[in-house]
Amino acid sequence: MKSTTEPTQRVAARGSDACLAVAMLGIALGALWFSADISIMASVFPRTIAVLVLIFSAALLLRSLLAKPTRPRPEPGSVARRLGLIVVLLLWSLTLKWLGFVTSSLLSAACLALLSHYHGWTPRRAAGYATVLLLIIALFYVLFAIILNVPLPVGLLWRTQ
Amino acid sequence: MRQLNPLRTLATTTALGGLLALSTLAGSAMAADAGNYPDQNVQYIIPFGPGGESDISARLQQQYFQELTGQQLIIQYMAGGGGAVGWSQLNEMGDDGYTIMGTNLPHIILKPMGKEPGFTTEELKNFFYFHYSPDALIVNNDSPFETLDDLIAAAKEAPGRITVSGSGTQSANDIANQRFESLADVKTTYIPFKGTGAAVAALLGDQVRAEWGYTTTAANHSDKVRMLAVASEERHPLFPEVPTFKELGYDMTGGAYRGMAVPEGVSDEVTTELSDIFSEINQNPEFRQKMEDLGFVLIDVPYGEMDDFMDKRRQEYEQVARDMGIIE
Amino acid sequence: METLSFMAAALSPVNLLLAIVGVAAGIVIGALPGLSATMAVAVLVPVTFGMPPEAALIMLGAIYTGAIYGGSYAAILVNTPGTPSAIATTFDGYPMAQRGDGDLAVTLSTLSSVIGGLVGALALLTLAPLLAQIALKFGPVEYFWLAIFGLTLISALSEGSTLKGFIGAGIGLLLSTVGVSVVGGDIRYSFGSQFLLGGIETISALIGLYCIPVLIDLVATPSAHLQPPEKGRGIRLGEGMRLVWRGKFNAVRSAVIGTLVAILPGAGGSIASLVSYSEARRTSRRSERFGHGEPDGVIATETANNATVGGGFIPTFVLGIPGTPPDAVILGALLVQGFRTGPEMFTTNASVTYTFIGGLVIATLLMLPMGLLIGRYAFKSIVSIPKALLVPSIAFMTVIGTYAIRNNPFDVVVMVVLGVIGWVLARYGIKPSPIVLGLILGPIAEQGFVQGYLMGNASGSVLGAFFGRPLSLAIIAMVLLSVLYPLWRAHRARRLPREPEEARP
Repeated sequence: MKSTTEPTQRVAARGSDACLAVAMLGIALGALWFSADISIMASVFPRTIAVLVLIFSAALLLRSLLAKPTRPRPEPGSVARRLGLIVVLLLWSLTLKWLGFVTSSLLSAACLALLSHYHGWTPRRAAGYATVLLLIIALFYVLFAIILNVPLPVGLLWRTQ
Repeated sequence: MRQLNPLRTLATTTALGGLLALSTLAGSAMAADAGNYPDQNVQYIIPFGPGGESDISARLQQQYFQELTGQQLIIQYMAGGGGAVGWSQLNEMGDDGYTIMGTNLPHIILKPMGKEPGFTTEELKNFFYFHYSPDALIVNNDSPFETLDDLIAAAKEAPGRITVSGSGTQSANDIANQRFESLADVKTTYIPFKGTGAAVAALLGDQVRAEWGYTTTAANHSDKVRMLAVASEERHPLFPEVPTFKELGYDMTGGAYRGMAVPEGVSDEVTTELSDIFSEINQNPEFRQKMEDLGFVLIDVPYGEMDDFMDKRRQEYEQVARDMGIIE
Repeated sequence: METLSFMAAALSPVNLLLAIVGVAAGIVIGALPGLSATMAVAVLVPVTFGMPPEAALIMLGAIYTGAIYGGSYAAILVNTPGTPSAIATTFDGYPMAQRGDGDLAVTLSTLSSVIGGLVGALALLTLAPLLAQIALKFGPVEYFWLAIFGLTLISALSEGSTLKGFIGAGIGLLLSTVGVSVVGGDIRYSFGSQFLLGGIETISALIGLYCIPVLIDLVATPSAHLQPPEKGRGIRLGEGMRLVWRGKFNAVRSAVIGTLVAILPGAGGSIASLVSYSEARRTSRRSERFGHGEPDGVIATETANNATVGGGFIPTFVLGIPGTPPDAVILGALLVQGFRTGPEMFTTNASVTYTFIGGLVIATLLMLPMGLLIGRYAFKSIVSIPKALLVPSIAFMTVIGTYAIRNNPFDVVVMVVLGVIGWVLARYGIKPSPIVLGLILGPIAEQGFVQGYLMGNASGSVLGAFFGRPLSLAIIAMVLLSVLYPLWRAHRARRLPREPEEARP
């Protein structure tokens, strides 16, 4: 079901479709392989699904080789900033337990603000943004940790023992 | 529209943030002093989702904990893996005695027998076990099975024909069915459902012939279902007319036991103190009445008697686990 | 008449105040990704211990209603379902917001939620015992076929290649098997990690798959997140009402679907809104505009998910079996208060029950002024926040929200990883919706299948169990219709290319 209202530019997708199909074949085979030591009752379902994914991926692979598939042109933009965001988010999620919620959130929020800002920095703007961000984090901290009683991680690194 | 005053420089704002961080750290790192424990609120983590029996019984304790100590018992949920996600992280939590976690039998003994649950039974420092929900074999009000013998006779006639629903595999219900099958020498088809609610719905909708549930299930649905037998030592005060399995000649008592544990590092003084507090809650007549009305059976297993209690349960479950093929 | 007087008791000043506070708190909690209606209700339970039972129920019902509605904000403004019920709201709500119609989308969602909420409450008031009996007729086999029916929605949900849609659903179904299995008790695909034991939390997956890609594309360019609205425009209430009037059949059908799905324990608001969305799309004359900001899409999902509130209370009150996860918490609170569910809820305890239903109606009506007010500022403020503040704020919400679902830091890692994978897959044509559909329907399909098989085995005929029951046959007919109808329509469109109905409107 293609969009009829806004025709998008399309690019060739043979290579990417083939890559996708191969990756999915790999996942399906992996799911089959790791289901070996599961009891019959619990493995019927994942095995069936894995076989179906296998069939669909093979069909996709065939289609990418025989037909000339296209896909919508991906959204343009800075690759470096995207990768930066991914790295920051991953580090954030991984350090949550060790650095504690407050420290890792402050550091990551600051990094993300730097990453997503496209204009120049003036001291005034920096201070303003920092204040607003701190306020937002403080607000959420109060909401979650104090009002909703969520035990946020304090950070294993700071433990006294 | 946004006009932000540069009153604060970046430096002071980060300092403020640091302060915020420090103050939270200081709060949690305060040393525990057994003398006036508890002098702050206690986090009570339930390793299941909200709304289940572990939650309901904890909610009942919550009220009386506050009456007794003046501090709040704050209930949190950490669901996943049938409790394993919570238990495997208990010993990483703050060991000042202000974090406790609900533990359940047979889960904490059976799960480590399987593969990689992330914790062992010995690692859990249980300090008080406060009640259990006795297993019960439940049928619809209009079921042709009037007594347990009716059901056994039907199962003997056509092995595997009688379908029985229950909550989960290798759970209290599954074990109860297994024990019942070997004691009565019958064969049924046990059908695992996700949770007691789904298991009882299957019974109410006549999808199965009977259900392995608890006295609590029968108490909640007393208008639609009746019990054939209860796996408690004595008849339950709510259901004086329902016989126990023992009376009928099947040596079967048990169910889902519930208690609490602390992280390993908590001092013995604080652990004993906690055990005393919860044992006092267990003596409160109002609490007892409410628990019994819901179908629970109260027990008192304080910290000092925990090892004996656990050893006994372990022997029972090991026998069943062998029958079920979980262990060799 | 007695019923009415009980319902009027909900209008007492205290109850009214509780309803207002509940709805407001619910909207805020629902709007934050990760803070679900279940959690909102659970947090409030201890507060209600000191209250009289009807006041407690009104407060819990109000917060629940508000949270389900509040989920639409995050869906419309940042493409993240605030609650699982709002998944389908992202399909058309977010494109509307992107083109500057975010205010209209919020108004539509408010109006539709009120309609849906009222229909659900009406069903609870009048048809509860009957509908509860119908719910009991659904056994494992019926659930299995329902899940299969749900999976046929893939072709409607996957834009572009249906083949890729099926692969996406397969990934979702496989992801749903991670962790401890209900049938068999095995630990599957945890690779020795204690964290994967708990499986993949649906809400963390939702937040990752829908919100992280938005963030990734947000930092890549300096252009604005959403189109700003034209100057001097109000809340567009008139326009919204005209659109709802135009889609009145759609709204009523969606509300009925929402109510019916909700009476089946375990199905839930996410499935109700997805089913009504695809029904709206299938029957609409503008079906090709769905997914690109079609107002009817927002109307369908939002009426359906708010109808689940009243619908879900039906099995909870009549059978004592919770219809939706928040109902489980409310049921627990009732038990702690010393209440028994069952027929006496409508006889001896009728005063409490009907006062509660009255409170639910009032809470639903309160959403209209409160929602319009909050919505107006929510859209304007999201549009005017500079990117350097918006990105960290959204990211912060996703992280804290994901953590709070199970208080588990590893869920945050799963959320981010799934989000990155989802972004990559979306670039190659596998959209998040089929994956999420698989993740939600997987457990229902699997348990239904294995339980049905065991039951069939016990009765001597597995085939008879799956194909021999009238209700299963009816659902199988729906599955066939859902698969064959688009094919037939495509075939007819090819033969009659110039039929006016198929022309571009």
